[in-house]
Amino acid sequence: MAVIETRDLTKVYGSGRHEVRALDQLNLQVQQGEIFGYLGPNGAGKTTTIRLLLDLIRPSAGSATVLGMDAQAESVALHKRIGFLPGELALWKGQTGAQVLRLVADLRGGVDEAYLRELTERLQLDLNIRVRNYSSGNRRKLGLVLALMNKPDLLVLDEPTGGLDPLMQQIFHEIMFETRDEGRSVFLSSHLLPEVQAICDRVAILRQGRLITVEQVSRLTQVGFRWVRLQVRDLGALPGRLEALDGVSEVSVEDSSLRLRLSGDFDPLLRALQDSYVEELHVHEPTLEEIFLAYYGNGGEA
Amino acid sequence: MTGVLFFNTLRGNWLQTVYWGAGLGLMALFTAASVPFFDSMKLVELIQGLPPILLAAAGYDADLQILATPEGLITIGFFGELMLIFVACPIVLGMRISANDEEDGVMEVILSLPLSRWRVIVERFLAFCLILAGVSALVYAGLWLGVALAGVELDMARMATVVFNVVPVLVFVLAFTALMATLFRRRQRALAVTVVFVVASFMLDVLAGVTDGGLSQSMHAISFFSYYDPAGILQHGPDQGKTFLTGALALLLALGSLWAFQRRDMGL
Repeated sequence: MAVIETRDLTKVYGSGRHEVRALDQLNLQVQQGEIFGYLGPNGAGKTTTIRLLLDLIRPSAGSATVLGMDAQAESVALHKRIGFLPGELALWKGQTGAQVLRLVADLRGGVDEAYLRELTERLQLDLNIRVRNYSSGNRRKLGLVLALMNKPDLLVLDEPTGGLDPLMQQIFHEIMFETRDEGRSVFLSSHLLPEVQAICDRVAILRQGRLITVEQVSRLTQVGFRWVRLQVRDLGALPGRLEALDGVSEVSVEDSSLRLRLSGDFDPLLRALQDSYVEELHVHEPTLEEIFLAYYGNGGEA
Repeated sequence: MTGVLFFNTLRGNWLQTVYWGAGLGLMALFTAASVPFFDSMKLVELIQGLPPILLAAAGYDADLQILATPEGLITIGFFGELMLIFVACPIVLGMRISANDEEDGVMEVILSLPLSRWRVIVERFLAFCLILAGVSALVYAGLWLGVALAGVELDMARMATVVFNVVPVLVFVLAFTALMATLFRRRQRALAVTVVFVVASFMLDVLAGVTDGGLSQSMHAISFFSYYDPAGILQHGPDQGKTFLTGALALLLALGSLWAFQRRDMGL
């Protein structure tokens, strides 16, 4: 069953010369019990999609159904079953974390207090601090608790881990897996590929308001590549030898270091290096933009 | 849950209610306590000698003889200026109905909860109406205390009518501010338009006091300042027609803000 279904969902801001097509005929389906990644560079239309799904803004054309309900006409009933974390979370600065939780719990008509306590303990959140005095990471944690507190059927998270330390990111991932195991769904927007790779089942890639593709995360990783930088004591004919290897391309030499693009396994590269003295070896994940180009060429078309 | 935002708004604003009430109440107390020290007839003579535009600006467009009484002195010393000072309160509160939260980004969180947009406006609007009545009650308390301290003979029931008749006009300003906030989205823009409206209304009221005939009546009718006439209430009792009209206009503006907030994009 689809928990999110959009049909030609379009959002246009402004008019005439100032018209901006933030989202263009989006057709998307998110299934129950999956963690769905929504990827795209800044300005791709990720937040616009989320705002449309939550009825914070109204579509210029098309429609969206969430949990079987019309996102606009049945928004109040829908919001009872949704937990939302905005990308730029703003809260009542003069109130403590506990007061904010109390208010939101009251507005939700009450929540499971034991689960609320469990969440705050797992995320190690001190609730006695005023929001204005929270660090960005703690504010994010408070936002996560707010989104999770009602055990929603659908979690909508916009850049959820920004500001969280690695330990908290790990706990966040665990909570996401538990959510999925309980048959609930997560719609997670991000521009961080490693995060999406770590927890998502499927991924949609958005660019300039248009849906480029929807893929299994494993498939996205398969066609992926890495940038490798080597510091080798004596380069000699090494660049030429590496260029000839399968999966190696775009070899360039900068001072005494060598940079190349590697697709597939590391083994051929490591074997080719066995006669060289490697001082340093760095591997970089490609940026999302580079993956787009690798997938769809410079035109960005599927 | 119904009423949560209403009570949260009251809780979040009680301290400022006390500040406003205490400030205006102290003014009332000071004025009432000063009554025994004035020679009312000399004061009336002095006021009668003022240029008409100054009289109009101070809100004295009633029969000045009524001012030669303790009630009249308080009307001169306090109620003539009350509206001009008090009007800042509903503007500040009106910005808190939606504009402040929207500009700060908090509205995004509120509206992602199971809460309809109209409830946000209605519950906060009603809470602020109650706060305005609360501030007025504190003003009356200040006046009562001043009268008690000075030992002045005063018709406190009539004074209560004069004090609480300011509430419908303040609610009108609150509704106007709420509408501007929902129409213009940006806090500064909404605030600027509201302030211009208030200043223009005040100027019209002043000019109406120095002109004659139909033009004066028209300007009076347009300016919401003329809908609170403390000297008139003192002489003839409250004008039910004006009170009803002010209330009806406030309701219309509040409904307008509901309509605007309901149909537009949030937080852009």
